[in-house]
Amino acid sequence: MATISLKRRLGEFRRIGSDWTLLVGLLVVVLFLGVAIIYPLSKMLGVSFTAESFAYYVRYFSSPVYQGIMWNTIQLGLVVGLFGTALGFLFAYVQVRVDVPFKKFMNLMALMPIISPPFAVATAAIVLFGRGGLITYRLFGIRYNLYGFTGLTIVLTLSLFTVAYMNLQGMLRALDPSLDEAATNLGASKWHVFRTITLPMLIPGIASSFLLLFVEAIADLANPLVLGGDFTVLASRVYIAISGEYDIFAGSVLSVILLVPSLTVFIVQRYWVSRKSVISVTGKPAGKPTMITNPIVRWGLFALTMFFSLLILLIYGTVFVGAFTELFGINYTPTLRHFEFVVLGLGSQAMMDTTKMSLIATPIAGVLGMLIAWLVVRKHFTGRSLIDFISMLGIALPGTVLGIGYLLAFNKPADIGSITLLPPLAGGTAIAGGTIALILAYVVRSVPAGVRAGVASLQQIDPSIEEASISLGADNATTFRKVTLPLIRPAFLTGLVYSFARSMTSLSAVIFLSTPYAKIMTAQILNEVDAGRFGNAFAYCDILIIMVLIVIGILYFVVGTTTGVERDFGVSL
Amino acid sequence: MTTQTSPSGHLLLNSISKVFEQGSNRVRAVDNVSLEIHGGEFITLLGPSGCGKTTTLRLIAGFELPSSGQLVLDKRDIANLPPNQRPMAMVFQSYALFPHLNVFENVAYGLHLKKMKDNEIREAVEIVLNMMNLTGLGKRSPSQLSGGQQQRVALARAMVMKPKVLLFDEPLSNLDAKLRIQMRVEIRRLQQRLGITSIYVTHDQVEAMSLSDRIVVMNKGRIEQVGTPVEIFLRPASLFVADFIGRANFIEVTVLGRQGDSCVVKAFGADFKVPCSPIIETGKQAYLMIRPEMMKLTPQTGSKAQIRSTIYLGSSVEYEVDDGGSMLMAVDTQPHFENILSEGTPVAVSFDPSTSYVLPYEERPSK
Repeated sequence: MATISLKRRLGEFRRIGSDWTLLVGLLVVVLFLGVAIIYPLSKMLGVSFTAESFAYYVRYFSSPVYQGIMWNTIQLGLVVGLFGTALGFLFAYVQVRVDVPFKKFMNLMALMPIISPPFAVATAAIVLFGRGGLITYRLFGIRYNLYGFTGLTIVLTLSLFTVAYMNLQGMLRALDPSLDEAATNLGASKWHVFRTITLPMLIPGIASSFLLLFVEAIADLANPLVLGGDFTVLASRVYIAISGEYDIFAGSVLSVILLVPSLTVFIVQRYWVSRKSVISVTGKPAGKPTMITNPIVRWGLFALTMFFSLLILLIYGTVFVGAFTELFGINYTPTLRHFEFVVLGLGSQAMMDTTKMSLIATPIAGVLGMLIAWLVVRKHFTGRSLIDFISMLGIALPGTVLGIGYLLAFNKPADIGSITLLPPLAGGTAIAGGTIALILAYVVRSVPAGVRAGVASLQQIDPSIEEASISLGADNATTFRKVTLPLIRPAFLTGLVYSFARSMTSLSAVIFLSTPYAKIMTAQILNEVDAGRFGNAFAYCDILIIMVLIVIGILYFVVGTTTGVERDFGVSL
Repeated sequence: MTTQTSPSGHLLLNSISKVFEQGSNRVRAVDNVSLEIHGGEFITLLGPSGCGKTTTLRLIAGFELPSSGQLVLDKRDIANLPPNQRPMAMVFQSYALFPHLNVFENVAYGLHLKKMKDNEIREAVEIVLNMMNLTGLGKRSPSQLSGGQQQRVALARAMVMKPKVLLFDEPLSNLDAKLRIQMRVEIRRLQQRLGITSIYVTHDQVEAMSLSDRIVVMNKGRIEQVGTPVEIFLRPASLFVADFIGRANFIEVTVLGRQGDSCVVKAFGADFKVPCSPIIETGKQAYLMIRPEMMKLTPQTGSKAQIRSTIYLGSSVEYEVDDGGSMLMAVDTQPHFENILSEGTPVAVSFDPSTSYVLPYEERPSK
């Protein structure tokens, strides 16, 4: 037994060695994951598990204030998870199963948060529903205090429910309508079908949406910073520890405390709940589903969905209009002053820096995502699922955790003895003004979306198509270039779009890494919001949204989507 | 059998095994398979799903590496040669046409890799497209073709490479019945004309019989029997082969004596001299295999055997006969209007001993 197993291992090494594309691909991926994820994470964990940091754990777990912060974090995660999933389900159900007008508009509103910068929703909510808010105060005369748990819940729900919407919409579309027909044929009413067929089949999807939203909500930094008020959560506390108190031990220990629930829930979602699914989302429509015909249910659902769609429209309308007015809510004199500040004035450096770094990070993340997906789906080697898991950490780790890891890992050179393996990559004194660490962080945060899109796409492509190419004399590299890549082009495009949008709007992972030579736009927005200069913040948001849309347009044009292949494979964006 | 001395496309599998490990589970997908395939021969690997036939084909193609054993093509050990360097071409069950390339580009794909000149490629592709009745379809995308046309493009793409060995992985299983028969004839005709060694995997015994010079029947990773279609059908080496190829009645008998290649057994109240497996000895238990087509039923009042059911199929009639508790199948392949037996008719049962066979006894796997 042992000798056979050893022989097999040797055979595996020989095979990897003889297959240079696999070898090079693996080396690139392992190096990337090692430097960009494992190394910073281990640095952060190293700091948080020293004798010195132990005192912090004792203090945090015994102090009622910190117990409160932990409870706040969990509470926020649970409530946003619940409401976000419910809202996502509502939008998805109406989209797939209810025949009402304006569905395209609703879909667009539900997708808005993908390209939305952080702070956009929160800032608009303040000027609309806050103490001096247009709606609350001007319209109804209420001095409403939006800051705190309620405001955070509303804003986070509206910002994050897109994840649940897309997830559940895919599942609802993939539900075989003949199941409904079979149940109806056996005498079940529509409500009975929904309760006994549709809902149970969707439970894994609902659970996994809830868990994903939980992870995103507890990791969110932007909204608690702006809207938290007295309601502190772990992510905002980490930020204060690093940026205000310069206490790296406090930051690291709090990060570990935040990391535990995030990672646990992520692992439960990914390796347990999502495997329970009885529906395979292939992207192929399974047929025409039965529509809801009861007018009360139909128009009730329509009214509810329309209400939220209009709310989202109002919010983004405010973001848009707010940038062109002196001070939204108080002085509506039209002005281009804010755009001058962002485009030509002091604010323009951040815009240029962020765009340049995002443009560099996007293709790297796109290619890496496809490469990892290809290795994970098509190649058989020991440690394949580990590579998949580590690449997903880029999104599973809360941004602040990653940011602290980068601070610790890249502010100083990485040495082994007297040999310098890596020069400092982060901070103003690092090479390229600290941009390398920022770009690396952008790539790490963007890769998972590309990997998932690539994996989904590759799993739909019959492996014998690639085998046919090899059988006709092509090596692995040629096959990847001439067959695989053209076929997964839509997924590649998705990866690129996500990467760019994510990089441009990223905050928590990079806020500690911004330097005078590499300014990031989202951090500038935070400054403007903090100073009450909402107009400037809105102008930044508008510019961000417009740039993301332009780049998406260019990517569609360059990479192209109408090869006919998408139709054959049912792959679509 | 075709040209045995031909040096090209002669393939030798020597004690090939393939073990898959899934966690702590070890599955012997191919278990010590040895086989010699002659140049120009059409050989079929036949067996139920999971018997190891596809794995064997993929080992030959190089998509899997053997755990042990040798694979020799024209006196050269190719077991560790990467699949793209083997002079073989494969036709896949799913056709595996490149969906982003048109028909011409699909067929030309491998020729480009050979660094052939553009005009030579054009010529070679035109020839093979004509040969496959695909003239004028070069600019079509695969999704615009019918299933049969797609299958022919896949075949053309493999043939144009002039491989030493053609590999077929159940290529006809996605076609409808009529097209399948048509393509079967076409594949056989082309293979005969070009003389390329062909290895064909299928679970369809009729396909195997109609295409092959020799059939390799596989079960649980092992070879059960290698032989011509006639040998496999009339002289099966085991109960498994007899049961898998066609239908058969198995009657437990005692061997009363041996005479050369035949044994004397007692069945239906009479002694018969029946061709017999060489390993069978006098006095031993054995199975008498009778194909339903070889059964003879004659109406006879007072006989204890009775027709249990009659199924009229047009070109034949299938009978189920209750012979004192044991059930027998019989097929009348030349039914006439007046001689179809109705249910309940008492019949005398007999059979043609020269087309039946005596098999060694073994425990019958419960069905």
